[in-house]
Amino acid sequence: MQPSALTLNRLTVGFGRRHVLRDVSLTLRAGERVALLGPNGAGKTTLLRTLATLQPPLGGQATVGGADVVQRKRGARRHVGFVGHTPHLIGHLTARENLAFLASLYGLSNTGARVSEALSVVGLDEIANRRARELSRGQLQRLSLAAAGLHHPAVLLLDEPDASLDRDAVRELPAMLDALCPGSAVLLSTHDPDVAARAAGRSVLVDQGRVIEPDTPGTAAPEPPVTTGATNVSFATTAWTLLRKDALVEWRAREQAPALLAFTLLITVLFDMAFVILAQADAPAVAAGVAWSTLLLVASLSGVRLFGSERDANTLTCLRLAPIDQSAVFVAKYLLLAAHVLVVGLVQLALLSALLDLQLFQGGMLATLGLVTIALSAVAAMQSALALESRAREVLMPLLAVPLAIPVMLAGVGATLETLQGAPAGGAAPWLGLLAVVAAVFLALSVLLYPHAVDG
Amino acid sequence: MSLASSVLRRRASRQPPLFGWRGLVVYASLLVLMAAALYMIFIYAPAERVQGDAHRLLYGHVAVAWLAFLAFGIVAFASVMYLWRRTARWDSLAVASAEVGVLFTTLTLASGSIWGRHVWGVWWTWDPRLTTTLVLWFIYVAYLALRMYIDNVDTRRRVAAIFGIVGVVDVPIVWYSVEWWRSLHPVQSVTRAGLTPEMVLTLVVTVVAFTVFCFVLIRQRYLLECASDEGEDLRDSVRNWHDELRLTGARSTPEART
Amino acid sequence: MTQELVFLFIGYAVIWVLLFGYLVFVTGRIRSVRDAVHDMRRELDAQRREASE
Repeated sequence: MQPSALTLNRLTVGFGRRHVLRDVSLTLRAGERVALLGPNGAGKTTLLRTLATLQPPLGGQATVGGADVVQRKRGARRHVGFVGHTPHLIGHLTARENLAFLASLYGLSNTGARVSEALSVVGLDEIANRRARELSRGQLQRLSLAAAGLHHPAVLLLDEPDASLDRDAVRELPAMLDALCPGSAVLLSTHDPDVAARAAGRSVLVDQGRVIEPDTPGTAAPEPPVTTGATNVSFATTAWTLLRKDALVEWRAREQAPALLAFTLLITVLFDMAFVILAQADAPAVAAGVAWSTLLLVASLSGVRLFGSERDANTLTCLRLAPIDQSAVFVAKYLLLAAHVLVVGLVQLALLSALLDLQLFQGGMLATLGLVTIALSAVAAMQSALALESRAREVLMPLLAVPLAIPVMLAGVGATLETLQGAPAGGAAPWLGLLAVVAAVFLALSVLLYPHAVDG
Repeated sequence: MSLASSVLRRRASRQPPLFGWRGLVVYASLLVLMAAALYMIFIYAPAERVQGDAHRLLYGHVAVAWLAFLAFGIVAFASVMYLWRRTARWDSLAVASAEVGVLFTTLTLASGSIWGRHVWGVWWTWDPRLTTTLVLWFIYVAYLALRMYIDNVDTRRRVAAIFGIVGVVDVPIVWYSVEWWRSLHPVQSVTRAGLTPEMVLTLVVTVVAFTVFCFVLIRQRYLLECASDEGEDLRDSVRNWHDELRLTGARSTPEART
Repeated sequence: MTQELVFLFIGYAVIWVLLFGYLVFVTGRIRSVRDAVHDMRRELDAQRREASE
């Protein structure tokens, strides 16, 4: 007997301990199309999200392409494509870039041809170079479909594809699916029986948390199983792909840089006024204190948006669907934040040099800046991931990051004073050593723990 | 119906009594220990050469300070266990310990400050111990705030566990950084006169008494967390059960009538 | 001497009041939460009996 593409064995899904849909048993063979039919709130979306490994089931088992969605999450992700209610595409990338990005995350071969083919199947080849944020709702949904089917998954999960596709597209849906990923099993949810009849061979009726009309095995001749195009991608390649994407998005969005630089300027001038003009403090002490406390504020402020913007744009879902080591997501974000902090730090040193009449561009200071950047960014990036699902993220972020970053600030100040007050050579060395230790500890902890924070 | 009712049956017999005979023994010994500690602190221990009677505050101060750090250690341990095992009990222990920890950290800061005002003449000084305790307090508070602001139970537990682990790793680092910084800018340090055997004994009894108190508090807070978890569980299973009932009722009644 | 004793008194009073206050507060909360759970359970039992009849 052929292995089935999707099996659900008494699967119960929901949130926390609250069941939404209970005891669902269902088997889909390769090429089968089944509609999950039921009213709004019947638990269709929750079921599909569970099968897409986005949330853990509360009971029972489910396998996708032979891989258990709990035990072998990453394996299951290779075999599943998911189109959600809201598209999880990257708004600042073009349609083609979105698909190319996914292709390299999934380690697909023959990327260019594959992407072009997928674009033409869903009828977007003419606007392939338009950014996703400029596309209409229906076009986005077509692009989502192309993205979900790009790696030829064993199972394609479509959550209410009729909700935002136009009438033509709904009519074309079976043909698009045939052309996009022939042989993939498709499970789609809808509350429209007509759509179910048109797009699927059979349907399963769910309501009030249970399957009302149970599964009847399909009669169609089984098709050969599809082999997924997803391959193993090394950690470094994945992190590089993500970093390139993040940098491109940051460049196009210019979300933070101008505001951050203005903020730095303001804080520095403010501190300078308070300490030098009014309090008559001496220049090296002011430089040491102002430089690193401003940098700490900047790191924790930009940390708010670091993962927050991904979450708001729903793109973290796209990364969680990919069969990658989730820590790579953290590493890419970390590098981006570190680059930010470094630039701000250099601007800050220039400012302080001018305002306080100090020579700050010297070996000791630059080494301190480098290490402080590495350590601060590690703390801030980690806390950004932790505060992701919280209310009042903006307030919580500094509350989490600042106490943890206190040693970084102290060591930064210590090293700066040693350097600026002309202490004997090597006076700053223990401080730099401390910074290096803090940076190493926080980086290691965050890379290890990040997957627990976002991916259960 | 089987699923919900099995949940209910399993949960029925897991409430430890609040004031059983074991509780009585614990509370009685706690009172005896506390009375003994008070007697020894105020009467048995001799006055100190330099500080006079003020040093008597240090017995309590040392005891609560040690427990502040111990409670944080428990938070970290329970957090590691939670991430490993994913059982709600470990998370309950972590939150119980964190809350008691905030209390003891606050007491450490308050008693230390009162003592410092008397002996050093200032309410606050940037001594490594004081500074580390203050940072510890901020980390505890951030831990509790983080928990408060996350609605999803599973996310809250996971994220809090991670923060608990990271926080405890940070504490020794804070300690070292403050100590090095102090060695650069020496301020007055604590007078370290020799302790007489009576003082040592007093300190031991006080520490034991406060430790027992601390464990009683953590246990009570833990039971509270378990009880409210149980309430949530029950509420959800009742809803699940009602859903099932409505369904089976809807389906079986017409058949029964025919 | 008296000044020292005032300091001592304040110091220990702060410690004791906070610790015992917390103990009483938490124990009271456990009571009320358990009562609520108990009520819920009893109500549920009644409903279950009704349902099985």
